[in-house]
Amino acid sequence: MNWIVLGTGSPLTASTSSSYTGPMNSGPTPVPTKWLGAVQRIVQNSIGGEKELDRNDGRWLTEEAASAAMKFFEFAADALPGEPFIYKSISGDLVSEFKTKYGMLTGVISGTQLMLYPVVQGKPQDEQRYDLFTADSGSLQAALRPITEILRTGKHGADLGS
Amino acid sequence: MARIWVPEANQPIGATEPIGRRLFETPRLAGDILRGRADGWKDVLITDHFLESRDPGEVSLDRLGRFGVDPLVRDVLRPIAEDMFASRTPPRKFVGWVWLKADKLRSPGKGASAYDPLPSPVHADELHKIKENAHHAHVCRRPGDTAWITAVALRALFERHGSLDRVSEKRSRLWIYSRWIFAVCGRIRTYFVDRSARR
Repeated sequence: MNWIVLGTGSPLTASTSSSYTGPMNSGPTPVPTKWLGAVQRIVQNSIGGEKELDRNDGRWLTEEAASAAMKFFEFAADALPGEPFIYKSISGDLVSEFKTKYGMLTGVISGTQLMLYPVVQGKPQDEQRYDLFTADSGSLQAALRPITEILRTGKHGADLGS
Repeated sequence: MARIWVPEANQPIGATEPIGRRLFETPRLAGDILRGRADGWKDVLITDHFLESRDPGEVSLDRLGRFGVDPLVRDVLRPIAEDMFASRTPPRKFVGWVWLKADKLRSPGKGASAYDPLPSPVHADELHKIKENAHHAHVCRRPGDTAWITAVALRALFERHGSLDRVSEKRSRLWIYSRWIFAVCGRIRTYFVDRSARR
């Protein structure tokens, strides 16, 4: 999570309110991930109407796909390794790819299902699945942090802090 | 005319044979108009390039030459690749291949998933608009793996050990001259090989 000392917490913008953990009397205030707003705008501006979706040129999202993607980014932004590159796959799923120095994370949103595929130093790790319909921000971030840590440091959990 | 290398139907794939995966232009969402993307060759790759959900378990590849990427083989395969992506829904634009040597697929190093590329020439089928491709090969999905797991693993391998062979729309004069010289050399070689065979 990105932290910055602002003294007392100032209200955050509407688009990033989900990562705001509540009022704090003192100490650091969480600052929302810089890229979140930009990515949210991309998703929002890619929601197609009937005409665009009929054209089916792979550039437009349905409202359901967009809202699932928004939920994922809002819930998980603080625990993700960086700004994603997002696109619609040939199978119609929404894909977000995060690159780091030590590997990459591919997130695939299919309906309300989120599938994560980390690759650390060229080695694919186990697939992880979440239901975005039932997932909450805390559990998703808790699940993502170890993956992000490995991708940032190139070290597995057991090696960390030793 | 220089001879094009055409592998025999059952000719096993050699360790140094360049094996390529066709790439299409990276898709962008309608709202993604302002963001730039790094233009290093590895940034051209996306996991979607390796996703093969149609054929259960087989990911299509091309044999791009005998020992290195052969420009004549590329020329044969290019229209096939262009037609293939153009006929997709939605249509895509073919931009080139990412390739690696076959032994890097077979033994990629500790921890990485290995794949054995197998020759699988495609026979022409006019009814289904399928063009002949003697250079076609494939790798099989590993038991229990999904199309996405396979795509992620293959992407990691090609990104780590591969090179990009991008096709350009506009051909430079240098390219045209080098192709001409290549063709002339091929004809001279064929002439001498034939002459020595006649003796």
